[in-house]
Amino acid sequence: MSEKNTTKKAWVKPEITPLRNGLANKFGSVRNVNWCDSIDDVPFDKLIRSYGSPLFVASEQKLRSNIKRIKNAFSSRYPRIQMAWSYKTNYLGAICNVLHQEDAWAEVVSRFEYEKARKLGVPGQCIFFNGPNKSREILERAIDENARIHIDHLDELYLIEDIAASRNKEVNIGIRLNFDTGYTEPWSRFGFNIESGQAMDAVWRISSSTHLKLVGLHSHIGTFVLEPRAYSSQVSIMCAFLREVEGKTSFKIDYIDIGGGFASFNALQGIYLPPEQVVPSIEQYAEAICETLLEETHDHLSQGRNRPLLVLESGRAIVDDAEVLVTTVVANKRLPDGRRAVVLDAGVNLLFTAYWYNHVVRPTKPLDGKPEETVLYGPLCMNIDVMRNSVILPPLSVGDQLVFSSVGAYNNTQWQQFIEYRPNVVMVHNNGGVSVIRTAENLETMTAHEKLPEHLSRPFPDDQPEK
Amino acid sequence: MMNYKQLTNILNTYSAVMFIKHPAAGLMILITTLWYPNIGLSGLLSTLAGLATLWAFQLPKNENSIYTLNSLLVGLSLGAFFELNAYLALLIILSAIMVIFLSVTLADGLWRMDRIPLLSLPFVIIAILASLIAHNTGKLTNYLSISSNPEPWFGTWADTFFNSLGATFFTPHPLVGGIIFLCMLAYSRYLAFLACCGFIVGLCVFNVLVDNPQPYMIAWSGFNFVLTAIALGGIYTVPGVASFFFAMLGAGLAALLSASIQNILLVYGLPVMALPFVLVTLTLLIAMKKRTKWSSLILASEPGPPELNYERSRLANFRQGGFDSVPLLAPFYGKWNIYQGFNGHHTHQPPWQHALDFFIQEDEKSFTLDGNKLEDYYCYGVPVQSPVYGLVVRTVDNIADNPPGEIDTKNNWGNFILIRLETGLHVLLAHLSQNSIKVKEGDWIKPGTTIANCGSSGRSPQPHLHLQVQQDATLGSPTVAFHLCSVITSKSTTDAEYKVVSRPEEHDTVEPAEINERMSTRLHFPVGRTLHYAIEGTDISDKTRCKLRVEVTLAGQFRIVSDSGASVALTEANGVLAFYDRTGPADILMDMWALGLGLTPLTERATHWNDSPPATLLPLTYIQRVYLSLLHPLGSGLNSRYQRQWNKESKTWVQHGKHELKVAATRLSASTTAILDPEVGCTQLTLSSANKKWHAHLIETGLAEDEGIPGWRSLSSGNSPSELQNDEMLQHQEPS
Repeated sequence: MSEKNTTKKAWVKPEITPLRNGLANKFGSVRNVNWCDSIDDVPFDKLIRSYGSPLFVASEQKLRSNIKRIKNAFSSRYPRIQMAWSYKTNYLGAICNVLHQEDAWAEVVSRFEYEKARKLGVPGQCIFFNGPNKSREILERAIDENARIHIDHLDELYLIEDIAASRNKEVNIGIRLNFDTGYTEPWSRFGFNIESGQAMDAVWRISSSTHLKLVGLHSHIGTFVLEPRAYSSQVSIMCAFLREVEGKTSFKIDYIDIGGGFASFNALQGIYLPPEQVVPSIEQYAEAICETLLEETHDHLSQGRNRPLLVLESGRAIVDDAEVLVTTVVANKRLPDGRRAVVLDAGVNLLFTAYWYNHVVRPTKPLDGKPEETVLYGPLCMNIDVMRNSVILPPLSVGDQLVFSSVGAYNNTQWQQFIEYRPNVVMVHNNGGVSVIRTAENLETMTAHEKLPEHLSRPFPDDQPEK
Repeated sequence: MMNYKQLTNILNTYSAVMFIKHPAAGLMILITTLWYPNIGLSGLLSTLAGLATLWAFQLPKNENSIYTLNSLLVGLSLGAFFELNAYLALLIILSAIMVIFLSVTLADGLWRMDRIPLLSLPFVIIAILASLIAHNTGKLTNYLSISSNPEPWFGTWADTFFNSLGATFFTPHPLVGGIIFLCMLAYSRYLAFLACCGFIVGLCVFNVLVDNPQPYMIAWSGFNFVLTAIALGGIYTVPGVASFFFAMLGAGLAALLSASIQNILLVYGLPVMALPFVLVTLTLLIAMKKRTKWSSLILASEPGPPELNYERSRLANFRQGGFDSVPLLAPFYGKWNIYQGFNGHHTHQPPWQHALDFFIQEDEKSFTLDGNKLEDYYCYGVPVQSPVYGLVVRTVDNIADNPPGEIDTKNNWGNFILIRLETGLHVLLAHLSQNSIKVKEGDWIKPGTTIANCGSSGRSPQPHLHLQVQQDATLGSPTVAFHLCSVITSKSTTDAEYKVVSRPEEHDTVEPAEINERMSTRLHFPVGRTLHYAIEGTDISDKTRCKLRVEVTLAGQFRIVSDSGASVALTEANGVLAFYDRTGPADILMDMWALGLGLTPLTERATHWNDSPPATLLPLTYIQRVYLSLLHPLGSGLNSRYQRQWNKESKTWVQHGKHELKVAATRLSASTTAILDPEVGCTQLTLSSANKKWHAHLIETGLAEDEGIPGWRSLSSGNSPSELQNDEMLQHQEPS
């Protein structure tokens, strides 16, 4: 027999698929059916062999190029910008320091985040301290270290004034504002409201204090904002407020912090168009913001003053697509309604954002067989542990790997220690090297903080006979 | 009664004939003209008549005494030709009045035409015409005989030269010429040198052209060689090899004209007077302004003594990249790359060789995604700022942007903005995006005004910004060299460096350096600002207090003036504070100031830079100064390297300067430190050189009171900024 005839066809898992309408709809629900075997030329199977599954993989190169692109998009349109890395988005030390190396300052919202930024080596004056809960203790430290504190409510103002008075020091502060842009749901629970006059009242209160000096205005209009005009409106309102403050008091506003909220290339559940069509490019955001800001601050130029510094607290837009989650198929199932289901070793305990995103899921190698609607479940014994409610995938075998992408934002901070150990997080470097940036948890780390009272030190009495 | 100012005006008139501005020299010359009282008194009479005319008719005054200079010369010439009597006195007065009117009429027009100086043109015209009157009257008797040879005095050669110099004032006497020469020597060695060389060259040419020239001919023509050489080699050009040969050429041409014109005027018994000098100097200067290409011969921006012209040109070369290069600010924000530089091989060819094309690149790509839409290009739609102060004279806004890769040669420049500068040159920004222009024709704009968005219209295969400076308002007229001020440039990602001036080349990265507001506020010197320093150090017995005060001249130049009268000019432009033109007596605080802060970029991005202040600022001994002036008669620049760091403990910028000069085998050096406090300004200055050391610290700053403006003073502890009572109004200060 000749060689040709001995070649067998590859075995394909047999399947029965019900005929279903609606798959080939006009919104193109079949997307990214291709596969993805590596990140920055480092193959996933090699990473899984070395660091286990599941595995978070961050790309240093992508992080750097993302922040550079945002920085360039804004700095080519406005003369003074400062990026501030939003710690809550992803505060793994390695991630933060990559971004700090790219000239980003830190934006923190709690004592823990402040202490972490300081521990990483960020000077106090390069930290924007937001958030509604700042204790006296941490405020004292922040004031001593000249951090840029944004006050959220009057009680905080009184507290800072008290600390400043006790230290006989003039403290530079910013205030958090809230207002209706006409585009987004106002986040009126934070800061001071402009429309009601509350914000100006707060400014008057600050101007009556000998220890406080208002130097910055801060607001944040929402998250995953898909409409750049919302930012134009935000900047206009803030600049109008700036003029009011400078006109009525002797304060000179040095910076305008417009928060973050730029959308990343991820598909929000409930939005039918794919992100490529609905998510504006960074340049579109930059254009909307800077054009308005240049117009609104033109009078600074005629007064011979520098325009105010524009502070951007981007998180998601920088980190989201710089990290992926690699998972392994644990089991296949067929649901009573006929849909195929797959159990993975990572669930919503690790991928918190699966609650609101439809992540892109791709196998790490080309798989044969007819793609079929599939439900992806995590490893938790909870009904809510669904990674994707419906995704079109070819048949999967146990041990096959799936890559969830754009998982950099909010997962490594909001993940839960629940049921499972949390896995390794690795970073692929520009030179192809790989480092673990957070080691996998084990029993020791999980129980490190536990204390057993003496009388509870044993689960069973020692003298109990073996069963 | 004549007051001091009027006396000075008269004396300056005398010295101005030799391009000197010094009343003492004028007094010497006035006295020497009285060697022949007939001539001297005639000159004085016409000068007074000229001044009276200016006063009576409220005519404009000229600080270079150019009007009275012409009336003086008319009087001197008539006094030399005829004996003084009532008739001549009337003739002198009438001629003086006429020459003043003619001077005032011509001066402004000539200057407006092409910055052409008046020189002694009105005198030559009126003197010739007035002398001709002698043919109609018998009331005039000849005084000096033009065609008689002068008496010998010093010796043949010296006599010839000094007679000639004396003949400038129509007193061809070696003693008069000798004193004039001494005045020149005291005022500027280089002028005296030019005078000698010009005379020798002119004389040689004259000797070749004229058979057997008589000494009286040389005496009455020779000063033309001298004046032409002085004007072309030192006053109206920047001293240098090229201008020296230019001056010698001028002296030779003056000899040619002298040799020929004398044959016409001698018929009427008149010498050539200053006619050859006026003709040669004016024609050569006007012709030099029509050059198509700038050569090494540099015309001075305004007439001045050669040492000053040289110093200005030296500083301009160092600080501004040359006299002829136009300073611009970068017309954008952020980091841009050079797509095509000067003499670029695509389209930047003569006469459009002076142009820069900018675009934005990241990782050597100018676009994101696949680059087949304009929106994919990083620089597309990015705002463009005005690089200058100027008047928008033309805009085109309606040409569509080309799809990537395509060009529109019909509308070569695409959408553009043409801005007229104060100097008459024009700045062109081209290939702008359709309908993006935010200014209109007739708008006055300033640097930083957003004027349009970057686009891809016209001959533009991909979005980019074209910037050029051109000669006139015609679209695409020949270009002029320019440079960018206060930018951070780099060839690769690692060598980013702050440059005071830069002319980036293809592939370079350019980023405008943001001005630090605190630095620029504290180092801003409005008129009336006073700074009190306490100085201690070598040769200063006790702690001395010295006050610096900012004044403004009539011409609008800001100067920091010290108690001693020493002063230095300052300018704050394009993100840099610069001091220049140090004048007045020795003053260690002024020298420390001019050395320590000489060139101070007002941006935090500047960590090190170079400058070349004049060597005379160094604390030199008298012998060193003489030595230096012998080896570098025109002055020399120091090799100064500055470094600036932020000191975390003291919360100040520490600006170190190392200043060095190699003169033959010796090396002069000094180092300065200036402490710049972001809340106060320059709180401390130190200067050390060899084993000498000076230290000054700020005790008080303030603003002198002016009519309607309250003054203020604030104390500065100098050593510890934390104790400063910043801007605290302590008391109103009397204007001093």
